[in-house]
Amino acid sequence: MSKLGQAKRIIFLKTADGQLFEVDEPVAMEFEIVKSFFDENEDAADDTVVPLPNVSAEPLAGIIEFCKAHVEFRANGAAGKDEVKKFNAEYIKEKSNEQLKELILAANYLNIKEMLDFLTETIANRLKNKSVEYVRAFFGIENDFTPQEEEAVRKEYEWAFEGVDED
Amino acid sequence: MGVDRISYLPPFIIHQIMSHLSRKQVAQTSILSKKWNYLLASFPIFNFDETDLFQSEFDILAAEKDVKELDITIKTDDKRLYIFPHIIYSAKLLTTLRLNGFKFEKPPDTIRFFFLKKLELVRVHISETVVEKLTSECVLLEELYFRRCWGLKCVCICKPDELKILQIHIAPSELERVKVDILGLQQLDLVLYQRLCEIDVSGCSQLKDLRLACCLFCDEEFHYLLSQFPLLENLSVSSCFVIKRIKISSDRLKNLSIGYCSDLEAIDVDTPNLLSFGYEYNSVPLSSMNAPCPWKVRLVIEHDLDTNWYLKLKKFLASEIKELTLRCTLNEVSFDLEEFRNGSPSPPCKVGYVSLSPTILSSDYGALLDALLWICYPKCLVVETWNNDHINLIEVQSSYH
Repeated sequence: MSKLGQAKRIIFLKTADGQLFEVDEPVAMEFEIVKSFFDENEDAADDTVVPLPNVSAEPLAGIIEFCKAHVEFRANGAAGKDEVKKFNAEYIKEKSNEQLKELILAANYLNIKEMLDFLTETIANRLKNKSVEYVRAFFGIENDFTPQEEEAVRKEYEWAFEGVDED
Repeated sequence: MGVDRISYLPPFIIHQIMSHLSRKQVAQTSILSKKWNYLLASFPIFNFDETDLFQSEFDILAAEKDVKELDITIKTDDKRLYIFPHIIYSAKLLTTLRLNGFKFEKPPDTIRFFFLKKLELVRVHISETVVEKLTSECVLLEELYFRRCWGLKCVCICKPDELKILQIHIAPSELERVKVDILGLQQLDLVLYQRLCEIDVSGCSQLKDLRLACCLFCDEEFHYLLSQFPLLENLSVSSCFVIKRIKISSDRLKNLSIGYCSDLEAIDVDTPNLLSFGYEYNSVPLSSMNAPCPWKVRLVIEHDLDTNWYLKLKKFLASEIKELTLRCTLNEVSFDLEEFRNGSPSPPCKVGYVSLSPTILSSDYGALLDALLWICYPKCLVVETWNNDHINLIEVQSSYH
């Protein structure tokens, strides 16, 4: 970790596709994986580049944007306020499902709990009250039940299908 | 939706998504596909609350003193299980009891189900103490089923001596240990979902019927388990996703069925007295087969088909097949007859019934059918088609009967 107490330390991150990112320390420390990298390598030089072999540049840029905003919210005591909700809503508005998935996998690898929570909730919101067929299409699931098997499973979970209109 | 899809997320992320949905919608994911059904079964969030909606109905029930069979299903969401009413313990003449959607609290000091022969618990929350009490005081019990039950870290069934059929299907991520020690047990069904669950069934050496489903055994664990049942006559293995190789050698085995084991690569079966063999929804294995009985084979093929695949299929099928069903999805077929003949010069095998339901391009469809007929002569061929392109390709010239 930074021992000299510089005003602003920069952490260098290198993605799978070879891009170098310069991230302010407090933002980079939101990534559990980066934090533990420096915890384990206390002597790491200030210009050490942390390799992120499972993350590519596009989702990383998105994650940095998210974490940066949230670090600032916390610093300003805005955590949990409407401002944050507004930012979050804005943040995901333009994201496609494919982008969301990339973000989830990257946030999972980087181990950013708060963001992962937010992203999975976003997906859940996109699925809320949707039909079985819709969910199948959403996840690209092939139905491999025979009609008899499907009937048997439906019976077992009968209560969950009552009053549901199939479309 | 177009192409904007999400696929292949790791299971715990899917669980995390589920945790943001209503119980009802989560339960609906059960019918998405087999894999999702499995994901749901391993979804560990439950909590309970009480209601006394039905108290008066139970009082009336119990008043019927000589009721012999009782089957009660409480249709609730899994998080609001009904507390098992003590009044039911007073139905002393019960022989069959089936409960769905209950939570067992502390039982009375003595349970008077003296005549109970069959107890089936479905979606029941139960503790080790209650299981211990039920099994030691229902001395005539012959059949005991735990289906999708919770609350047990350890399932230990050592009584009663009369028990013949036992099914254990406990919610995952809870179960740590299964111990069954009943010499006369005939049939054991295990649905475990769980890695690292200690299983001790060495006391059941007379077992005849073993059914494993969703047991995540590795090859060694699976074969060790089998080795403890020398008298086994019926074996069914399904949805055991981790097993890669199966080796079975037995003079006694009569019925064998292997299904939905997606990672299965090789089987070695030496069962001279087998009466039926089912091999369904697995891939074509590397095989060594001595199973002279009718087979029922169902293959789902999701990859492209090359000559090697056909060679592997022919080697596997070289026996008496009653029924062969192929379900293909979007495959390319590349079949080289010369190479195939060099690899396997023997004539095609005879098959009773072949059914094909491919969704492949019509250009590959003819090739698939052609190649298949180099492997087997079907007595009956069923071909599903849904456009004229497919039909035009089929021109049958058969001299074989």
